[in-house]
Amino acid sequence: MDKEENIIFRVVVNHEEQYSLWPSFKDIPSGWKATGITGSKQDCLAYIEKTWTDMRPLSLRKKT
Amino acid sequence: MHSHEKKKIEHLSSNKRSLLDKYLAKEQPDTRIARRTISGPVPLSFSQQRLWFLDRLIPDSPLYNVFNLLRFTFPVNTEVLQKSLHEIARRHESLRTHFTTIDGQPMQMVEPVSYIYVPIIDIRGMPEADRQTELQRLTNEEAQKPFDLMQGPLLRVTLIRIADQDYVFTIAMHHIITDGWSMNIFFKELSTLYEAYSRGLPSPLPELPIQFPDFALWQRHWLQGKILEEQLTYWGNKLSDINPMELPTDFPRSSVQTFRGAAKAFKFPGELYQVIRRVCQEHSCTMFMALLAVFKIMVFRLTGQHDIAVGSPISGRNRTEIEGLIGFFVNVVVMRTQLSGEESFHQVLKMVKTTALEAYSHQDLPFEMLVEELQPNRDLSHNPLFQVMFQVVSGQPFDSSQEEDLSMPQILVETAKFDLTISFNDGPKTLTGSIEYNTDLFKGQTIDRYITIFQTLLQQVIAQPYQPVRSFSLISPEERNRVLERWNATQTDCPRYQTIPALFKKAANHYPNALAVSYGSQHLTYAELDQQSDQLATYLVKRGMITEQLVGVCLERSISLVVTLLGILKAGGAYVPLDPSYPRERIHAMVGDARLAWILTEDAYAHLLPASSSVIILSREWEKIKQAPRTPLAPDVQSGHLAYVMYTSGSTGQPKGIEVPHRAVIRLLFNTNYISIEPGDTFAQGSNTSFDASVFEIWGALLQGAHLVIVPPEYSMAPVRYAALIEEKGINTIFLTTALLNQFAQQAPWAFRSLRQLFFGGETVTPLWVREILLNSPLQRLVHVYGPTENTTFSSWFEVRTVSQSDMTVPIGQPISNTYLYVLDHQLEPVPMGIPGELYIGGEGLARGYLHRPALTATCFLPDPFTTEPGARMYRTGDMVRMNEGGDLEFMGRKDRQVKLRGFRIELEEIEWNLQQHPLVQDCLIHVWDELPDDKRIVAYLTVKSPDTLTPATVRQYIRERLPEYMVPSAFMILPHFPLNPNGKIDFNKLPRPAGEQAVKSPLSHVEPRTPTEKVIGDIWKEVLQLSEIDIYDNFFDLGGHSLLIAKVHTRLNEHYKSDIPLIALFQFPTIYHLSQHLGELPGQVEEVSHHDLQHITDRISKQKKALIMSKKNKPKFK
Repeated sequence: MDKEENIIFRVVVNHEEQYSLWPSFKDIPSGWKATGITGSKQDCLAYIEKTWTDMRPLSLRKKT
Repeated sequence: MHSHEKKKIEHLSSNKRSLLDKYLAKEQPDTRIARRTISGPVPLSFSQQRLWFLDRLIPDSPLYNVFNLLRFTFPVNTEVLQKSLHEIARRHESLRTHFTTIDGQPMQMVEPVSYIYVPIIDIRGMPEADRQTELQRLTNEEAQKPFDLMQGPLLRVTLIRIADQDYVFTIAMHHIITDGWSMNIFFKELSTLYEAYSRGLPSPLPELPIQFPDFALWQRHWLQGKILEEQLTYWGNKLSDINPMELPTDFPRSSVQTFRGAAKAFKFPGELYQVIRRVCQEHSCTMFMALLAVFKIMVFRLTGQHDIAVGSPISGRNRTEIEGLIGFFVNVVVMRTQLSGEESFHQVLKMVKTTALEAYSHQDLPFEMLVEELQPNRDLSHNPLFQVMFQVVSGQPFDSSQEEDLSMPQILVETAKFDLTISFNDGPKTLTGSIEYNTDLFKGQTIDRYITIFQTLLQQVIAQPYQPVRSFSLISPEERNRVLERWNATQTDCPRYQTIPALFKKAANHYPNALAVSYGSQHLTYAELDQQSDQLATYLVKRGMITEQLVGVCLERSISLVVTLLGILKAGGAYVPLDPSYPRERIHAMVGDARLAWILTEDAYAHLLPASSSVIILSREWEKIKQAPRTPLAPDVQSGHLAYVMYTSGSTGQPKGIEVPHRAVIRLLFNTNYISIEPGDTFAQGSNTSFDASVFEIWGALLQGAHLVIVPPEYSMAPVRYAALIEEKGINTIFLTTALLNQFAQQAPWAFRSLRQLFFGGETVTPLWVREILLNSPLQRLVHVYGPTENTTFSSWFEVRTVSQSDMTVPIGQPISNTYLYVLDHQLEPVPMGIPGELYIGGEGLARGYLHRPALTATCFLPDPFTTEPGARMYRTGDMVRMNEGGDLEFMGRKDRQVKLRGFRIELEEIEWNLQQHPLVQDCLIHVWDELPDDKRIVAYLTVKSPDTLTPATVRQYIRERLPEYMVPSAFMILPHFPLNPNGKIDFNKLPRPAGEQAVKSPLSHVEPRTPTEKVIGDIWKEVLQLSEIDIYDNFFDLGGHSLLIAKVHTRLNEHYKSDIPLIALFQFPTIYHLSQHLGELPGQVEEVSHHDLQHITDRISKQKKALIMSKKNKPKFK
């Protein structure tokens, strides 16, 4: 990817409640939705670090 | 201008600066050019000086030949033709000019009269079929014949008669007396004069006011003082800190720019031309600006560089007196623009337009003066300031009816002045053009690709002029489909909903009495292994193990280790290998990071483990375990649950745990394309469990009925012993790291004769060693595999059949089943074939993430925008790859192994490859020591075949001749062998740091010339540079030397030694010390040279020359 310090990212999440970053200038891929958090990579990662506390996929969390 | 003056000007406030500018403008002297009053030799114009110099640097080359063809389809009156040519030469002094040197300074001399000889070659008598071939041969010969600047004439014509009324007329000139504009004048005058003389009329052409030498004299007088200052200041600011363009090349750049070349012509559709014309009208810009804007966007997208500079010719005819003259007036300006990528095409166009207009208004500074001013750091591997020349020629060629004439001979291009010269012809109906390219850097296919990419991009920018340029695609929809979908159509059925223990049970039920695992004389059958691991599982569950519980395993390779891993999985847990050969601190870090509650180990390793964790010593528990009943598998374990967590070292030095689910392992081993596993197979288990090749070995064997043979540690890194074990145990399937394969190639290349399949990978491949294996071990399948642990052991594979001596790499191939590979650019868009990009991987092999690292996981595992499966992710590898013509990926290096030094991007792999070419180098690797941000040092580590003959100094010399100076490592260290870590990979931390004296550095103290050769060079330097003192480590250019002065040194040096030392050597070895080392100790007088010495000297010289002289071999065939 491009020099990342210049990019605005979105925090996105999928059906398994797995979080990721996605450049704001690109369309969000199917199966992912925006969390509403946007900003520098650093800001987005700080949010993810705080929010994504159970890293197991959702489908496995329910059953165990 | 002196640099301190320039600094003064730079530091003026903007107010003062504009006052100064106004003052300077008023002070402009009379700019009219007058006829010269002196006769005799005249100095060269600045541009001529550069070509003269280049001619000395690259002697006997057709590089600066300007060659044209005319077709005459009427009975030519040769007398009239001759007379017309004489008249043109009488009118233009340029055509009567040759060059000489007076006191080392080049001067031009004009002959008073000139006779232009027109040889007539009649090929009418040849058979029809041969005529075209002969015609092509003759024109090639004419085009490629070098000129002698010192002798002249610098104009050469031939008239080739093909039929009674059909002639081809060839015109060759040296660029130093002509340019594109001049050629148009030449053709017009020829046509006018021929017509007039044919009718018996006198010349209708008016006399010319001045001549080229008048211009040369005037330019020297005019271009000084304030006018020069103003130009230099503008360009100095505009071009400061300029970096080379990083267009991906096919071949590594050599130490000295080469000029071998070829050309590709292209033609864009007519509609496209009409649309661009309209865009130009709308934006009041020229075709040049529009096409250059597109090219800059293309470079930005291909390289990720934001700051892009290209060269562009400018006619230099901005004065009426010189408009009608034939001569070398053309100048080069540098067009530099910064793009962020957010701009639309419209905005880029506006920026390029501003750049161009500014450049035009500062066009009077000859490019050669700019280079002298801005480029004190001589790097001979790149053209200074720009690497790509870009031009648009407007209007039609002299005779447009000839454009489509298929029987016209092709003008052969065998040289290239720059990396690329992109020329467009503007109209009249279509956009055509050609790219001249350096064949030592680019393959023809790559140029074809660039042309396609340019057209793809051009169509997009016109269709969407307001879209940010970063969003454009470099790839056509068809190719996009091919590289994303067709190439990735790897889905197969595999037992993806099963788990590892379930599949093992199945195998155990099928083959209960078959050997499952053996180590030395011990072994277990499938039934025995099943039973023991069942009992361990029961024991663990009883002790409270739950699903996905992480369990540390600190054991050496052994049967008990296999039982343990299987037992943990059967109990629903996931294993975390803790390699007992790792340092204690590292094991503690892993235990802490994984928050391990349980660790299974033996007494011997207990001291390695932290006291806080609950450690189970297996041998003490074994009696209890053997009492345990056999219970069915933990029922709630699914294929998405974790099977293991494996630690790899992170870039920060902090290890990170990669969480791998059962499904990812199953996709590696079942119904896949790169391997078929059969019950009769015997796998070697040579990898430590902390390295994920062990996953392939252990589960590859045990889930499908094969036999796993554990390789004792003392065998696994000793090729000859390992080879004996292969024979003894009937091993037929092996994985080796590339580093280990290289050792086999050197010590026991015959070791694999009996194998069915050998897989290798994990590090940058050395084709030479793979070739060695192929030649000595004719095995059934040799497979190069590639993959990060994050995508479970292997992601791609390539079956190696042959490796040729010239191969620079062995591909990593294509995706394994149920795996998707994407080569993406900086904007996460797929790149076209042949273009390097970063590799991203999707599919079922993906790890879940990094244990307890949400941010790191989110950074490395991104949404996969290309798959049809919603919500899927892809892993970003950090590896640079490109797809070759065969559709296979080639590994190009780690993104983080690209370093920048002095503005140049360096691929460390490229240095390694070059070192590897030395016949006495066994293996090599490059490491960058960069404790200090501004003090990066490249160090080469070598193992050699004969330590007595190969010294660091000889390797340095060798590499100097092949690589640009900025890529030459600062130290070379010869080691007995490379330090390997327990996984068989190179351990960079154990590489010795170069000591002070090994890093060749010029001593701080002053060193006067000592040897006779040093003294000779030193005396010449002192005289030419007018210095009283000189240090043998001083750089010629740092002392104020420039190209004309070095030409002087060159002449003196050759006079002194009565030798033919090539000029280029003086650039390559710019200190007295290095130059005299290079020349060897030359004797003072030529008479004293013994035969042996002479041979030695000529060998050195001819070696140097060989690198320079255009090779006439491998002439491309004309179509």
